[in-house]
Amino acid sequence: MSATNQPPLLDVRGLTTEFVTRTGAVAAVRNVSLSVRRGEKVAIVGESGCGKSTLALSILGLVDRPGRIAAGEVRLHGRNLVGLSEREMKKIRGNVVSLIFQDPMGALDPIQTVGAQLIDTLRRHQPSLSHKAARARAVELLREVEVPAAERRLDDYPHHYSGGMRQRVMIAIALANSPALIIADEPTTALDVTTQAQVLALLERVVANHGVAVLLITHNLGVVAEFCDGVQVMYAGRIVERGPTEAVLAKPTHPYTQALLESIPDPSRRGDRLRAIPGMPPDLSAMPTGCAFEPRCFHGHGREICRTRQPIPIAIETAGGPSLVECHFAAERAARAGEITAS
Amino acid sequence: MSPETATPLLIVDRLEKSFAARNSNPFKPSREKLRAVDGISFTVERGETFGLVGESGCGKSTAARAILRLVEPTGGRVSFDGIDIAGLAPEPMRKLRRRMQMVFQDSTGTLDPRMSVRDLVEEPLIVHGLGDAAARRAKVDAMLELVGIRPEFATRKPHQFSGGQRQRIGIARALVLEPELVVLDEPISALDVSVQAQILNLLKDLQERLGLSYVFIVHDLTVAEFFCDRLAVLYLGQVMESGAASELFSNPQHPYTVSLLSAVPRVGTKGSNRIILEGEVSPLGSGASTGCAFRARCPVGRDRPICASDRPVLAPRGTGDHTVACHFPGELRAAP
Repeated sequence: MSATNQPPLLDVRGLTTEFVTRTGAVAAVRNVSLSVRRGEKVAIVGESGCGKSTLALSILGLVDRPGRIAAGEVRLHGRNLVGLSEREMKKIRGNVVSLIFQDPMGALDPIQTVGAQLIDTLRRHQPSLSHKAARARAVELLREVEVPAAERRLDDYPHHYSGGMRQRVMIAIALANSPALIIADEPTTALDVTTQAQVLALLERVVANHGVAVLLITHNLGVVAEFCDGVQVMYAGRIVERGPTEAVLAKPTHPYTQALLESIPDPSRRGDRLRAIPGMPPDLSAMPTGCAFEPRCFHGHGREICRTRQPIPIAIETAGGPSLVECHFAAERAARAGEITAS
Repeated sequence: MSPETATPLLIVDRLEKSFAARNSNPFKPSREKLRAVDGISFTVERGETFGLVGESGCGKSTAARAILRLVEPTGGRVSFDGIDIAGLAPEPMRKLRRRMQMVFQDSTGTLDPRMSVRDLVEEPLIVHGLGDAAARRAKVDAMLELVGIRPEFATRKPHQFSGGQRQRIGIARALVLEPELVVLDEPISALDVSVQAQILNLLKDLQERLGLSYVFIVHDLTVAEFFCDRLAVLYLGQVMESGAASELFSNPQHPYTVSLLSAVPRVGTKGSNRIILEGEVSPLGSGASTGCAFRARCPVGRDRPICASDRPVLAPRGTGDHTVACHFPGELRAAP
């Protein structure tokens, strides 16, 4: 790991993103702080509607009306991106930070060849590059993401590519201008498991080669375990637990993280019932006053403090480093988990 | 239920479904056939869950539809409770459908947005002409309660429910006819993991209470291993390996099964020794007519002559009814 006292590449502080609706403003991202260091791979994990994609879009200044960033800062290389003009943001997107979407077919232009899109991305941020040089660089990029017969495939359209190959093209485009950070929103969710393994292995290789940091947004805890150094678990717009991946997944402290892990079918318990999380995430326009997870929580459900007070982040020491947990009982639960493993 | 409990509820024998491959010239129809289902055989016992596992394009959904004759099979035999389905006239087939139902992945697409939940669950009863209005209503309410939809929500429309609840409604629609066999086509794939667990628990409860048999189509191997009693791993319309879930996952023999299991990212294991297959599933032009369907991607047989010339047949291997279609079973092992 890189030195801890290095200033973070991305530093999000107290970010709140709201959407204005007829009944008032609804916050999809609530007071979120997170940082990503150079070359670090960080996951944001959560279920649909938890705000993980909105967080990614907020970082890139892509939240459209009626959404708006209501509070907080997004610092990239120390510079606050919140409030920058669209012109300024366009210099950053695809250059310093790039984005990989779940659905490459929706992100690629269907009526332009893959080569044209790669060249366009390159020359947008490097205007001095000649067309010929850009084309040569595009071939290099396609080779790097292991598209077979790269030179010929450059003139194919996205629909000529298979799903896995399209995602490779997305990675090539994301890498084109040597960004410092790639935000990948569910990059392998639409892929088959063997293709997912190929794409994850490729992503791992190219980010290591280029020293790019990755903010990976996913719902798949297996992918997190596989790929990421650190993990942030999101629930109802807040990061409820964060820490080193191995420690958090092996010994989750927040009841939500634990319940999420226990929802994954465990083949050694075939025939049993799974420990499902009852109910549904709260309606963001009618949030509980206390902890957002309290109505579904096996630990805190019905407890006075959980119902009335929003928990503050509590620092926990884990084997892999410090973690932060937004739960009133975090210290108690961490201590008990320690005892269980010690005995 | 019929008295002859010794025979399996469902026997699928060399089932085939091929489609005419698309051709660029519309005036010259292609002779080439896309064999979506290419001679699949398996049996489903009463009360068990049989899994059809594989990646997209392996033919698992087409196989399920061919079993229910939602698409007409182009070859092979399907026998349900001793009745040969392929030869059945439309009317007896329609009657038989009451006993074999299907739950789809996308419940939103199968529920008419203008109908109330009560009407949606009642519809199959009306189609099959079962009971009078009062009896149907009682049955619908009982069914909704069984799947965990509160009766006071019965007048609501599908869009007023969450994805998990809509899947419960889809299950209620399938089960209200009291079928014996339910084909579940990726019923939890579109759901969040915590909701997946709720639906899996519900399916298990219903199976125990109602004595249902399931054909469970699934791409998620973790779910398959947890939920299925026996299963078949499909690749390009053929069974690569089949057997009891516990045996198959602990002792996989086919290189495809081994690679597939190794590709699953899991919590608690860092897969540095992962087997990564090259290439992708390509149904056309794979030359699957001769030799093994998997050989183009196979780490074991890619360059072996026998794999190119002879199609391996399913042969017993391991314990129980474990069978493998491979010339070199057990050769590829996942590193621990």
